[in-house]
Amino acid sequence: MRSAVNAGVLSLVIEQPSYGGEIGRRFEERYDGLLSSRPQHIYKALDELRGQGLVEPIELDDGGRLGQPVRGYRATGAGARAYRRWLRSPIQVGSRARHEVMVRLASTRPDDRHTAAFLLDAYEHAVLTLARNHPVRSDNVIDRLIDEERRTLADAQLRWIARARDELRTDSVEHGP
Amino acid sequence: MTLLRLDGVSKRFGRGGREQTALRDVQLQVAAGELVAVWGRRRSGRTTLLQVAAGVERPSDGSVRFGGVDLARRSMLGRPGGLAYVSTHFVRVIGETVLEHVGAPVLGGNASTSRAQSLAFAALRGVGAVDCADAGVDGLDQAELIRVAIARALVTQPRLLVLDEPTQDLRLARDRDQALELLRSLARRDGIAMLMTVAEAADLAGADRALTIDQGELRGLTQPAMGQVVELRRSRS
Repeated sequence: MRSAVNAGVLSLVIEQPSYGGEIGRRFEERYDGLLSSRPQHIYKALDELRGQGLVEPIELDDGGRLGQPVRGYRATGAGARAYRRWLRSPIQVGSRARHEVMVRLASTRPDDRHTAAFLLDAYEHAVLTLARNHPVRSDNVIDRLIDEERRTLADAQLRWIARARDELRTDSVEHGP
Repeated sequence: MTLLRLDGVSKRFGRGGREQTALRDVQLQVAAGELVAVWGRRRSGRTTLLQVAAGVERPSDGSVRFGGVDLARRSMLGRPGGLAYVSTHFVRVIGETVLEHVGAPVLGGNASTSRAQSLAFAALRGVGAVDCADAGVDGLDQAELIRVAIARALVTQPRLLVLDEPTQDLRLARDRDQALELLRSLARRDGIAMLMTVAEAADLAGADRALTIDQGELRGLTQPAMGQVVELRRSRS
């Protein structure tokens, strides 16, 4: 799955079969700051997912508002498999790695700690590789300041990963493996 | 060639009737001339990792081998061609000048005082701190202190240096970069392997491998990367 918006929409449909408007609302909450949640993007994603056989239309109860069933979507078996493959597919080291990890983490079920741990490992690998390969320049004060900003960011990312692992361990103890 | 090898290493400390695990099933290999940096938070086990790797502390489980020698049977610390632990702690009774302190590790063997001084000069020159030779260790600034500490470690001509946060007291980015560049050049130029811990991601720059340690678990590429395989192409007739 190439489109992060499509993957995000698919994960929301897997979580709960839903109709377009509600998917858009949940998408905005879940991926705020990570992905664009314009309605046309959500409906385009649903069309594409349906065309690929990853979601299928169903009739849903509208919650008593109009007393009419509304057209919604649920994931197919192929959709569930595509979602799992996407979550665990390799993450390329590079400047987009953080975004990729965060979108996937936001798409991970709270009880799926194995996938969360996998994503943290991938994120850490990307951060370490970038930090290790970062050129050391001491030419002038501006270069040094820019380098310092990147390094400070890498430090914050590694600390966040370590804290995230602490949280997963604590959660595992409290709620079982 | 693997120089240092930790296999299934765990380390537990008993404190106040409660046992604490500092290292958990650590696997690590360091190749000759390789610079391996380990990032970790405080109390992550990073210092214990170095102490066990250097043979200063014995592991509770597992083995530590240096050049094939089991460090539980024979210490390689401070031996020529062995490993050296870089410390910025200097004991005053050893001597007054930097030259005396740097040469001290070889005086325990058969080296004469003049030979020790000669080796100490060479070590100080190698780290760009020969101007500090006649100074007292108390008068050194932090940037000089780490260089002198490295020189003292180098005087026994080790194949592996073990360093615990070598830049921790260097406030300026420029001083940190220069200290790290020195370590990288020692690895590249002299083929000396380095195993060091760092508290800031900035200090990972230029390392051959970067790892993390947390709650005693070492993560990342714990073995040297395999050499790139070049495909054999047969010429077509």
